[in-house]
Amino acid sequence: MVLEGVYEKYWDIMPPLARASYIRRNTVYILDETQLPHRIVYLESRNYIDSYNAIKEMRTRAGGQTLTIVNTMVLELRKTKEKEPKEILSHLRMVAEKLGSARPTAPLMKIALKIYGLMEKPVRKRDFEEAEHRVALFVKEYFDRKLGFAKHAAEVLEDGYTVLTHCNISGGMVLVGRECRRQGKNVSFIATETRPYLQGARLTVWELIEDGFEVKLIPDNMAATVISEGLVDAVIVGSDRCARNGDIANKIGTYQIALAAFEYNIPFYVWVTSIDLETCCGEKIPIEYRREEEIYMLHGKRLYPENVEAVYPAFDVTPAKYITAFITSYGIVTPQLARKHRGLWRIDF
Amino acid sequence: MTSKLSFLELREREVKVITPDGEVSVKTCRELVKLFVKHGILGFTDVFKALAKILTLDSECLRFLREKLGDKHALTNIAELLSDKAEHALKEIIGSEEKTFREIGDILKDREGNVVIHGVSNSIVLEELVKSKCKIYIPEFRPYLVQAKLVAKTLADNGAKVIVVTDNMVGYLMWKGDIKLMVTEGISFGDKLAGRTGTLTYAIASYYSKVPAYSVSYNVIQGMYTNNIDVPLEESNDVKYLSGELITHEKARTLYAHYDIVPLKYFKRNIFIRVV
Repeated sequence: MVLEGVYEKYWDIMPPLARASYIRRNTVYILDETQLPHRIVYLESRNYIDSYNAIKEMRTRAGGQTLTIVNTMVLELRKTKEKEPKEILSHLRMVAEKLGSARPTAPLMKIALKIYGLMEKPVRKRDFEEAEHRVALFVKEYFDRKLGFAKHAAEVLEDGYTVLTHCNISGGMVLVGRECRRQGKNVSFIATETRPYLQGARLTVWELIEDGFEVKLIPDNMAATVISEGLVDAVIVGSDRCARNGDIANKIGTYQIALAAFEYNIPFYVWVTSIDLETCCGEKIPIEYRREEEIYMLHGKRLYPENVEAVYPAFDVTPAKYITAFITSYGIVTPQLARKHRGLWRIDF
Repeated sequence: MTSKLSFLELREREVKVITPDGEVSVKTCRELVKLFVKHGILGFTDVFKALAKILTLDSECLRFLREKLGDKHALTNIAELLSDKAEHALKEIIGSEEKTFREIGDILKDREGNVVIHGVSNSIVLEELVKSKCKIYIPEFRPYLVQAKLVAKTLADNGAKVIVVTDNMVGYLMWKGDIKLMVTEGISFGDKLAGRTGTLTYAIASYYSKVPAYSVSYNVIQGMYTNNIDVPLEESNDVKYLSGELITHEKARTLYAHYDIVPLKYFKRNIFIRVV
């Protein structure tokens, strides 16, 4: 199986943000999410530095980061095939570590090293076809899991529900909406704008409208307002990291939405793809602080007066006690149940 | 204007309001509503005073509010309560505001660490914040960014250490322990506070994060609000724009409320002036 074939197979099944990076020969194409919703532009990455910069500058994020890392590892393998296996592996290891270090909160290093691990044995034997085949299987499984998440998310939603979501789950909410449609349920959405990068306004609202769903945009300060007014039946958010005790890190703003949902008895679901067994709890998750300019600059224009400072924590931590359940590709599981049955934590969702 | 930190001045035949776009003169209810909606008047205590003054200047004020905003809107509610007593209420406010709202200074005096303020534009409260030497976190307040553009700048100009954050960061900074105290202002009715949008989100976050929250308000004894369901939600084109730039799908629909109704149970202490 070649990687290009997997992308071809899933191209129409997956919404654009669910397949935000793909590879064709010696180029990795990365959907530049900062240009949406006004332009659909794919960056062309010819090497790992291009890909690293795309992740670091948030041109791609969430699921797009994962696919960019996967594709870039294959790209670097293709470029170095003529060398000795030892040299190739040394190069791939360096690439994995570089890409894995682009942003600290999501476990990018684990993804990069996992891909390296998949390639290691076949590369030693100069079986490059097998190395790519293994990565292609990984991507196929990644897409199948996304569909699994959507199926289980749809199970907790009822006909007529309005779902509040924050930031963007890389095509996830579109897949949930499609699955609800398939099950004969009509659901609508409320999306927070998600300052400063506005992923909710630019990405979630865009992809849901393009797929024909009803969605309303609210400023971030209105989450509790719409919840208290009874306009929200369930909250679904993604997660960048899940600690061993079930605390999760996700886009800044998630925590205060979780508290509002908890206060008004609205179920709060988190889409979890894996558990970081090495991180005991939310307090130990490293939270990325980005440059303050990213808060007060918009396309080169300053939004606030000169003498005003800002801070930009890009993520926050939501303790497990405020989470109703995790949505995984295997089904719905409460953080409490998962903690009780330690074996569940061994599963890479 | 008596204070450098005041955004409102009640004059004989008009109300002067400082907005991020400059000084605006308000003589009619129509102008007042425009400024309320655009956050030109940010804090509810200023809104209250401005409305009380306009009721004495514009005889059509109450009818205008009922027609334009409906019976359940905060401004209509307050105007109804004040309609026969606006002049008396203003005198009462001017007489007791200074003494009462200075209490916030006592709360801040011995505090170490940082405070978040939201919907605060009362000059007495702002003066106490500057005097306190606390680091002041200010949510930018979308869609107009009025707190980042006006309140943060004014406080910084007057020597306060100010940090602007986006509206989604307040909860996290409370959880992390960076924010030790919250101050907001509004109008209280029985056991509820009408505050600027976002007050409910932050009040709940403060409650669960064990960050003491304080409200400063004019207390109107007869309240009409029961809960947030009475707050009118509307489509607002401004939510689709940030500083003049379209930030979402051009066909996007929006929801916006100009204020929140917040149970007073979330606050450690409520400082208020009884008005009507």
